[in-house]
Amino acid sequence: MKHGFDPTIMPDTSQDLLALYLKRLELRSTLGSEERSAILSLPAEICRVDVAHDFVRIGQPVDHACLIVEGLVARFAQLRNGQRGIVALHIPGDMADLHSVVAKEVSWALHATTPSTIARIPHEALRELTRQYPAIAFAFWRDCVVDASVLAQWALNLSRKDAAARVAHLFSEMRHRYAAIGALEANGIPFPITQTNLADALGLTSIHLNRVLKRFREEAIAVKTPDKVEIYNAPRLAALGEFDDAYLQCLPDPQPAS
Amino acid sequence: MLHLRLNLYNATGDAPDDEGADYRDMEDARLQAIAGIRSVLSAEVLDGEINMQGRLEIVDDSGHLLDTISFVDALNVIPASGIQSS
Repeated sequence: MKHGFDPTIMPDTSQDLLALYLKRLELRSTLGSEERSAILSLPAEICRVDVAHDFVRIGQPVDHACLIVEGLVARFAQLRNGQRGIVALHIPGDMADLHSVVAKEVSWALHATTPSTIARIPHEALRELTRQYPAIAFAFWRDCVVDASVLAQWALNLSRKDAAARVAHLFSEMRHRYAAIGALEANGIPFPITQTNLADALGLTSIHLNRVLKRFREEAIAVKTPDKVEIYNAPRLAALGEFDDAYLQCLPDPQPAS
Repeated sequence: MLHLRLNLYNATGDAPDDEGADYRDMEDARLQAIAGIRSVLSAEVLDGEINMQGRLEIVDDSGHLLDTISFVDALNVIPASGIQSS
């Protein structure tokens, strides 16, 4: 199997799914052949997760990190009254909670926005790799820094941008991220998220989001369907959202999958 | 759970809710509708102009109208003339 991501094809073996993560790490870190082999040999328990339950609950002690293999996963923060907000979105190839290796009691929940497949990687196996290979430890650290950078950008968007700019920025970000795993299509990206969850991630009501999406549709900028975003004018989208990909740290320019 | 659509109609045009969402009951849908109207109006306030000529219709998946909430009913506006001078 080639390492580009086809959302309709499941990886055949745990080596294939770990290759998704290796691909993400190697976007920003240099690893040797021995280090690559060590990552591809990690133990992985493959699980199917539904949209009805958190597969990692807030406060739960965990002994594994979750690699997203297929689908889309949201990270939620929660108020004392139970109200929740999406603070991150994770696509295939993301290790959604790599930070849990050093902070076992998690303060975020993980929840699939569409039926998804994850691979549970034991913390101890990840720790052992970092003890044996400093370059892998550095790559993991680098990977956590990328997630932190995205979170900081989201905070800026929520505090300083209007509704249209927030939507445009997120669509631009997801276009770059899906492109990096080879999932950019000629006219858009897979983005299986309900309007309610999308509004949540953007700090908007779904009614307000609906009005923005209608404007984008009418101006032939982008069209959101239940499973994807069709992007017709990526430069306009980036301009509206004041999108600068520097915070994504070394992702290549988006190219449609061949 | 009720699967309902909250369709917005105001000065900028119609914004039908093609996807809809699940609500616990009609009261939950009404509260979400009011929150949505207020969020749209708050964005208008930030742009310096507020247009109260709008409504939001709550419909079921068959298109049956279940309730209508006008913008003026979603917000309590105290006119400037009501301010007491000290």
